[in-house]
Amino acid sequence: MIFGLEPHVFFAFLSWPVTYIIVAIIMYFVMGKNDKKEEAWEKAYDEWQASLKKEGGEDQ
Amino acid sequence: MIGGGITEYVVLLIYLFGMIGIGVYWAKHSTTSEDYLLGGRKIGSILTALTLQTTSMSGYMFMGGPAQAYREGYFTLWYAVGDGGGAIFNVGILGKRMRRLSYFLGCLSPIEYIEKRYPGPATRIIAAAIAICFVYGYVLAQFLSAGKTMCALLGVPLPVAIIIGAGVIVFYTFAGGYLAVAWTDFVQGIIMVCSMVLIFVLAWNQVGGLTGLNTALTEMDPTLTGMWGKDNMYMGQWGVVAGAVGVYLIGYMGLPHVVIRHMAMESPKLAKQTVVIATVWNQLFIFVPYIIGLMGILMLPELDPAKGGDPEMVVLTMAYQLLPGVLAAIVLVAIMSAIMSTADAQLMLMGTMLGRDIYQRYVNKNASDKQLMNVSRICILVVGVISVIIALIQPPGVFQLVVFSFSTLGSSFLPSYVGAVWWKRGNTTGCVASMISGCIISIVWEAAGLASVTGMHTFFIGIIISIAAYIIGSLIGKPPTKEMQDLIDRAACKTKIPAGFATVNYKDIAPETNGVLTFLKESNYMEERGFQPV
Repeated sequence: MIFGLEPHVFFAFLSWPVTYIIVAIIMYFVMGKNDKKEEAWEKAYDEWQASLKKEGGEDQ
Repeated sequence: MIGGGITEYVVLLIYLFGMIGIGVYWAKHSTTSEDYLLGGRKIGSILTALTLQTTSMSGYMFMGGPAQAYREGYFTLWYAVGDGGGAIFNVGILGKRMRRLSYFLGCLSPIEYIEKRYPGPATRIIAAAIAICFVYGYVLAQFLSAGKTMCALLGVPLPVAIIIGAGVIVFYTFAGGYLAVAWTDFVQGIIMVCSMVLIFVLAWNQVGGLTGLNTALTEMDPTLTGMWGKDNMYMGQWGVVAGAVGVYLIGYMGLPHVVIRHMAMESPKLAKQTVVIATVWNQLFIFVPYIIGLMGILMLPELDPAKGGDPEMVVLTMAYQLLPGVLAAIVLVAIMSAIMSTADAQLMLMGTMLGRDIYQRYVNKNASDKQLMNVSRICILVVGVISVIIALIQPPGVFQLVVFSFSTLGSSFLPSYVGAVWWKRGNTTGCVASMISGCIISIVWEAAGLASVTGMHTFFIGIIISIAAYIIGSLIGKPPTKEMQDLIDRAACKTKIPAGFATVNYKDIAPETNGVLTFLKESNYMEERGFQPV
């Protein structure tokens, strides 16, 4: 018995709050890592777009 | 009537005036339509998390949820299992990408977002019709709930209670727009969770903790602590379990008044904080009411329906038994908060849709920013007043709408919102097919009572049909334009950038090499000597 419940009942119902919080914390770090990659990507994208505009301007 | 003393009236008045004050304050700060309809897309992570979750949770968590646990035992926690993880799915799947794509498309409303992502007159008409009809059903039900709660708890006559409760919601939403809604949701979210946790902690001691509670329940009736409900009434009905978990785990991604919260986030980077805050709040506010309902079986046997009691009063009765007067009165306010935080978001969305998606699209295409804001304000006021009148008259049949609202909105929109940012092939044909099939199947399933006959929750069957229709329709229909596919790639930060601009690679190499590359790039050293960028 876990906290007075059959183990399968405990895991079916009451293990979730802790599981969800752990998943959310893992997501925090994974998303944080992705943020860094995306930030670098956005910078590169902006530079690329600026260069395209510049080329377009020069062509004109 | 449980309350009705001077303390309750004073606490409620302070609360209502506080909400009005928030509305008045933010009225001065909403100067553009983007401010009014979407908070200027400057909503931080804590505010986003709380407005997201309080909008999702209604007064059900204070009354209906605990009552169900009181009657059916642990089985009811299947709903909490789904609900508790809702924020992880909602923010994790939609948050960042929807924020970016809605910004790129210049959308101010979740219906406009659907229209622009899946262009075509059919999308526009069907999406607006479903959203307006069923969100309005929700607004009506929340207004009536606010009135009935005040009436039941304080003994105020129902018409007066509806006018006061709904009037305050209409006023602060009308005045302050999205910012007022978000900030009132924030305050309401704090009140809701603190009240619930306080009652839980005090009741915990009374029943001897979790072990004491479960042991006593098992001795009373072993099926109460089993997997399948009291007297094993749901034995083997996995369709019901899948529906109970699935409805709230993924269902919120289909509700327009919920997903608009992603569009208002200040930055996609806030999604990571939002997911943690919303998830922690969820665990405190979602599992706790059901467990309080279970505690009520031991602590408040007189509420047993067989003895003529009303288990919906579990939380309140417990509050009055365990808390001193003022704190118990705050629990009354917390119930009103739960109702108001849902109603204001829906009312706000009605104003947004009528102003942006109807007025600006069909009536006055060249409406100025100021005109759009004023029209949205007027729409909120008109919808609010009409809703109050209907809630007072209570014509037969109108409130049946709300029975269909959650499943219909979720089934109709969920595939289109998720597919919009995760599947480039998702197109107008798929979107229209999924909205029509999701809406029809939900209404038919509910109206014909097929949920109880088949043991399959309406949302469960609705979403399966709707997803299938979205996929089949998208595969049959014409793919989205190249420009749209590029935007979807950009929202996912997946656009391929020529190697010379890929500064992203610089992060992963040694600092010395990084320095040399940065110098070469910034100084144009290579270009000056005729080398091509690598």
